[in-house]
Amino acid sequence: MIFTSFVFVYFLAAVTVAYWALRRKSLQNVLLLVASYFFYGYVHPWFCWLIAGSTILDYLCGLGMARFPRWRGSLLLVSLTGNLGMLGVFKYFNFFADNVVAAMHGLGFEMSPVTARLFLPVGISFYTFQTLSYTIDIYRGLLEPRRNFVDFALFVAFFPQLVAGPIERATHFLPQIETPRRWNTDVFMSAWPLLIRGYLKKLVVADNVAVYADKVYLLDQPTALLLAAGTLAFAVQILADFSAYTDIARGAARLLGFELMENFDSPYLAISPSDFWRRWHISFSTWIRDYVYIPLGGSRAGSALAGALIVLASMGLSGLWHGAAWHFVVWGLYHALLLIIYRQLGMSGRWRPATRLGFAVAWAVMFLLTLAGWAIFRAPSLTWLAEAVSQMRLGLRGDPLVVASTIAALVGLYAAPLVVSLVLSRRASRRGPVSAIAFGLAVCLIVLFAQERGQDFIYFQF
Amino acid sequence: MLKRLASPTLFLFTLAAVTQALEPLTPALDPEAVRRVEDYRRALAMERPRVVLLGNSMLGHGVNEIHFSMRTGVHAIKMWDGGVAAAWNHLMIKNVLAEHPNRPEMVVVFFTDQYLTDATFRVHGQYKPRLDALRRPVEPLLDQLAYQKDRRDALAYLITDLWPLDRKREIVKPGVERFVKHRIGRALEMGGLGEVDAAIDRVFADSNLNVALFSKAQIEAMTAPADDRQDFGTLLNRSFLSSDIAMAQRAGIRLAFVRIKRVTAAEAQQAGRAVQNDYMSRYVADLRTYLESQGSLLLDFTQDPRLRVEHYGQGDHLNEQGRLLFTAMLAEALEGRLPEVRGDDAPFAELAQVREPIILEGPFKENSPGMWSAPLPNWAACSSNPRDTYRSVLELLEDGTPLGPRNAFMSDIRSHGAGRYVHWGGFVYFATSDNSDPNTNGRTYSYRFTLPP
Repeated sequence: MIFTSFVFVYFLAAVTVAYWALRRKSLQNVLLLVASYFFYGYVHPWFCWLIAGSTILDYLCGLGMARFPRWRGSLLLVSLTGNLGMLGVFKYFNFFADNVVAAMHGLGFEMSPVTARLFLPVGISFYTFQTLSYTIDIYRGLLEPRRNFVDFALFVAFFPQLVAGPIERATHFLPQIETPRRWNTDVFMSAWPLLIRGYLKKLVVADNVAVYADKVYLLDQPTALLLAAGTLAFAVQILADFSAYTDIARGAARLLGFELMENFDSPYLAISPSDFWRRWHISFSTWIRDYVYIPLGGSRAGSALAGALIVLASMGLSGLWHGAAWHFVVWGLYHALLLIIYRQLGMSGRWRPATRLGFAVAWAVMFLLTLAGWAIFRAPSLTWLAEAVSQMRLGLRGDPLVVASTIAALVGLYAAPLVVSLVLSRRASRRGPVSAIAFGLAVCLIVLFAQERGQDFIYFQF
Repeated sequence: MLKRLASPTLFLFTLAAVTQALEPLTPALDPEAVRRVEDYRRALAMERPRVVLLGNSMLGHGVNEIHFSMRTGVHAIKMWDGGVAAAWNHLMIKNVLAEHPNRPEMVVVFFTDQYLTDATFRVHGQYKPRLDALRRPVEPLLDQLAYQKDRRDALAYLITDLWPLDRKREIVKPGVERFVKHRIGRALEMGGLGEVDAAIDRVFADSNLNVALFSKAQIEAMTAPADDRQDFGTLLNRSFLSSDIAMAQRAGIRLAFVRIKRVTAAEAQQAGRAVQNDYMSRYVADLRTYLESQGSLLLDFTQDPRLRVEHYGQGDHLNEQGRLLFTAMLAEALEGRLPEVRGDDAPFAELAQVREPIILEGPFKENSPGMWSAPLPNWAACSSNPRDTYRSVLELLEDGTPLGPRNAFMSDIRSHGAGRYVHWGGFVYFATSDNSDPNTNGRTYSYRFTLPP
């Protein structure tokens, strides 16, 4: 079930009414668990078996770690192997097999291609990381294992954030599941601005600019100007699309009395790579930081080289998480390289330029670097990007200029709600008259500008 | 309490205010589309055709109805509109043809590719006013299949149908995008909206796209059936086809379907490439089986080698030569399938009686500089008309030499001249070969009719 379908609206309304009609927390949790499995298995019921398997495995591993402390390490290994194995089979098997065959071919050995027609279950990357945080935190002694299976299963499968995050931590979300929720009108009403903002971003901004990004990246040989315009369109699309999902997820969760973590903090206002990763997909970047970067040595690395290698490993993994293709890996490594260079230049961490001009220059440079990264990310393949760049014409006149200018102008037009939303969130009171009018206008914009045939959320494929 | 209600009230007030502010933008019915439908109803009433050829501009440019009628001996007329598809055909059959007292005995529906079974194709944007001109207030099948509205889905219906704001979408969004494109065109000093649209079309032309880069969904949508969405049975259930056939049967109308050849198929054929992939071949086979089971006929011209690239003019539109050829091919393919020829009703028999060129008597009236006219009151019934601007088969001669192109636009005759002419209503409008005055240039003007062999 997808957020942009009317089926979801009915589903959410029915679940919300039934949920608040039930007084007892345990019954509410059972209802939410059933609803979450219905949500996840709505199109492909067999998805439910996968998430149930992952849930049972980590539930048992968690209990086992508490009961048999000597086997904590082995049980963590079982959890890691089980979850990452499932992710590996469904997401990376063909990628791995293709690359082995290609590597053997390079070495002079011929192997017949081994590919499996595996269908990637949506959200598997998200809930795998979420449930892994549970077992790892128990292993580290940061969390007590949960005995109530329903509560734990709901933590893994909670439908608002199941498919595309935010990736919640057990330490943050499990206590909310275990605590009785009381009806709070203010919390309930605060969900609506999030829902409206989410739908505005998805239906008006992301889906409309996607048309132009998709067209440019289908061209055999785009000119530099067209590639820049298409990449700008994609930059707006991916931010609007992904943050829309988070907004809708947070709004839906608030209707039920839950608070999910914020996933974005104006990432295109970042002035350095580390600043960018503090603002972009926060639940994922902090997961990588806490469960990969720091355990590998992180900022405590003995030498600059060791530190750089750890950053490369963490960001390479981060890229691979996004998809089983080399351009995602290179995108991750590209960001790793930026982090390393900025660190060498003394511009990492909470670095801030001293002057306004310096700030503006730092922002502009980082924005351009981010765009370059999105070109790698969005490119159909590295070969395509390499060919496009090596044979690229500037296209500063004629049709390419006209088309690139038109795309840039339309992207600017459709991105305007993002800017207005940002300004309002910083300037206007959330419950003041300006916000009420703005959200009224947002609903009108949704009706007037929503794409007839919208696209799936981008992060579904991850 | 009041404070708590202030924000929701203001929110709802904003919705109402925007709805009210945009109310003047409500589109009236497109007068051109309405006129065209009225023309078709009038043609049924006045001309009483026994066969109606129904389709889009590929039919409009592809068949000469006078030649077709003379070849087959059955009076046929074309009913078409540019770019329309299955939804328009459905409304024409339902609201114009099946319910008319002079309904035809047979309707031949023209389509391309697999659009016969695509109810959602060409129902928005510029095509919506054409459908609005044909629709009744309540069209559940159209709303469900073309606009994918389900009246059982109350919320969707409330938003998309009852809230007047939704009906502004067709005006506001394209209007804003056109404004942006127009400003860009002006800013770059390259003209207006038309030039910008043309540049976009050129940059994103099919030949510039790398099919290898298409996503799985895009490829599936175009070619192979990877799931049940592309399965013929599913397509059929989501189309107007079964409803149209049932409706026609109830009205006593026989249906036939013609799959027209596009220029790309002719190009592929001449280059030795396959005209269509396996999926499309399977689709055509399934469609043929289904139509035959319903007592209908499918004629598929996409593989016919007689139509070659040189028979096409602009895009998929046939030129004069192609039109005459395809008309002959169609008449031949439908032989024995059309209503029986009535002995007392040979359509356009009067044309066949004209064996020698007839002298066009002067003086010729100069309607506008360079464009002259002469009355032909006896041949008004076989002239071109707003319904079919390519209808007339009159050939104008200057000192015995054919002028041309015929069926030219009046604006082209005025601006370019050089022998262009059109037979329109009770007149022939023309320019001489050297744009001289036909009253004083000493040449003789005559006409005859190009008749099918």
